[in-house]
Amino acid sequence: MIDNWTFGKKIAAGFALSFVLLLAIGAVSYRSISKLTDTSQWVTHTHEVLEHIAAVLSLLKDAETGQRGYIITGDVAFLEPYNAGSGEVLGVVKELRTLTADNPNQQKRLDAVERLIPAKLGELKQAVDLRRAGDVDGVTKLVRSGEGKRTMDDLRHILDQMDAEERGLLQQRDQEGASAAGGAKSIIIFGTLLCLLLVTAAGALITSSLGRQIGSSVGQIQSSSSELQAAANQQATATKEQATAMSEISTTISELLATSRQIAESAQRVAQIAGQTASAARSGDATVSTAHDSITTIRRQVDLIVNHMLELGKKSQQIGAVLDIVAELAEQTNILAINATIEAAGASEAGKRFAVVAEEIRKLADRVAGSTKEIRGLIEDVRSSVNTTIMTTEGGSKSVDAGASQFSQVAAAFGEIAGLVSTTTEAAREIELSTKQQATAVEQVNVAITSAAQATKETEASSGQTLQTAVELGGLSRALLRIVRPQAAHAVFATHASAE
Amino acid sequence: MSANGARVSATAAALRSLFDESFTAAVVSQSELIEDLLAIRVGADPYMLCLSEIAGLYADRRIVAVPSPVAQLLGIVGLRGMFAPVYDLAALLRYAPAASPRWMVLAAGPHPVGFAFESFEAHVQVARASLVNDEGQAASAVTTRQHVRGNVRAAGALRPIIHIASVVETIRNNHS
Repeated sequence: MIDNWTFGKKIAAGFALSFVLLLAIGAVSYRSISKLTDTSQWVTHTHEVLEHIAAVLSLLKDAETGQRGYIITGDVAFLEPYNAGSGEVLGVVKELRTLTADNPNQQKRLDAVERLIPAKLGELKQAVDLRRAGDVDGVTKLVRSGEGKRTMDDLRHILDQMDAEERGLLQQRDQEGASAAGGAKSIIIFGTLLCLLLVTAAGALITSSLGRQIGSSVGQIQSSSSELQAAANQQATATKEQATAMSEISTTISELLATSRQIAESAQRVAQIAGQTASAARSGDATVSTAHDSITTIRRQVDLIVNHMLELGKKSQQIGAVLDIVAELAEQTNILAINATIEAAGASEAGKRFAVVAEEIRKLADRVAGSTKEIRGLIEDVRSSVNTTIMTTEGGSKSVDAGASQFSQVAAAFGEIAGLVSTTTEAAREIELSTKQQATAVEQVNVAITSAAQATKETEASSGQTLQTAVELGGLSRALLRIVRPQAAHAVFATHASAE
Repeated sequence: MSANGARVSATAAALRSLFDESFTAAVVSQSELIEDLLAIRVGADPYMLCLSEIAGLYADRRIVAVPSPVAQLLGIVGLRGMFAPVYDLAALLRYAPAASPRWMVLAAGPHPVGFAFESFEAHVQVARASLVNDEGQAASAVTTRQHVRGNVRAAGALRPIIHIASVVETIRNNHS
């Protein structure tokens, strides 16, 4: 389970264990030291109480000693201890009461002491007063009465009891202090040992676990750093290629931009030409309409020509009919002339003269017949020409009709051309506008490509840095592995060195 | 006015002049030196007829068909108060019978006989000296050659001259 813990969790667990152990040891030690301190304080307190008890007794002794010296010598100088002792002893008792406030037994004894001390001091003062008065006898009597000695003995006894109790308490507290000190020592020693043991175990466990994890992670980092190094190399290569491609793209975009501008200019020219073409188409439409009217007029003229030609054909036929009559008359004349010649041949000398006339008539008839043939040929030529002219004219009429129809189609085509040219003009203007927008967009693309090229150069630099970082990461991983797993690091180094 | 019109005008003027001259020219008879001939066509061949052997030339005469064992007889025709039989000259000359012969000549003599043929071309006058007696140029058939008495070169061709009297004699002989 611990293997699944995170690095921080393991460290935190180790530190938590050490913290708990240190806290426990510290708490126990604090408790023992506190107890030891209390015990020491109580010991000190007891010593202070003992000192105060001893001070009370000492002050009483000083007062009694001064009283005795003065009584004996009458020298006032001997009253100095008396004065000091009698003046300070009640204060010390009072302090002693404060110090032993927690001890009822001692408070009871102090009550007795406080009753006895004024009595003692009164006895001493009486003696001193008597001595100062020069009443030596009275003094002796007073001393011999033993009142003072009894009071002093009571005080000694009570103070001894207090001293004994305090010493008992002192001994008890010494024992408690020694016991607390021993417990604290034991706790410190064993707790420290236990803590060391547990911390060592936890450290070993964490170290082992972290070593495995870090080693594994370092191995992965090494692998990843190698892959990252390879990827960085590939990225650097790809970035160089990309930079080259970006340069080519930038060049191409520049050419595209120039081309777009040329297209825009061409579209503008196309729009102008289309506008001119539209104007020309409208003019052409008007011209075609005029031509259509002219063709209609021509059609009417052609119809008139056809009618005239037909009339001419009819007249020619009539001429032909007349000519047939003429030809028939010529033929009959010829026949008559021949017959006249025949008759003249049988009419002796007079017939000869008639035969001459008949011959002349016959020649005339022959010439008429010949001329009639020529005229017939001419008429036939005229009729043929008329027919040809009529056919040609009708063909021309049909052509005119076809031309009129075609002109109508041309007019419609011109109208359509005008519409298409208008559409073309609009389209050319849209193309011009779109191309200008495209040129603007291409400029923006060019700027973007330039930025991208700059970014590619920066990426190339970053790739170099990444490569360097990957190399450093590999070195760091090997160093880290050397730190956490020297043997494994040695093996890895050997493998890495052999690989290199 | 084209070139044809000018030519027609010139022809009319020539005709007018010729017509006027015919009344003003001196009478000069050269009949002894001239032979009058009629140029005709029988079938596709050109022939000549002597004007001296015929009594008249007619065109578009109504021929009334009569039943006859003679295949060459087309019928009879009325001329100047008399009737005359009309024979198909092409059939008599051993040509294929003419479909509808338009022209007809009446043979001179005491017994008028008509001969119908398809085409009359012209009346020509030739010098007698130009007549030749070469009988074998145009008429190849024996029957035809026996009715030809000579040839004359006229209108660009050598034309046999049909001997009408011979034809009439043959008809008479066939009938008798």
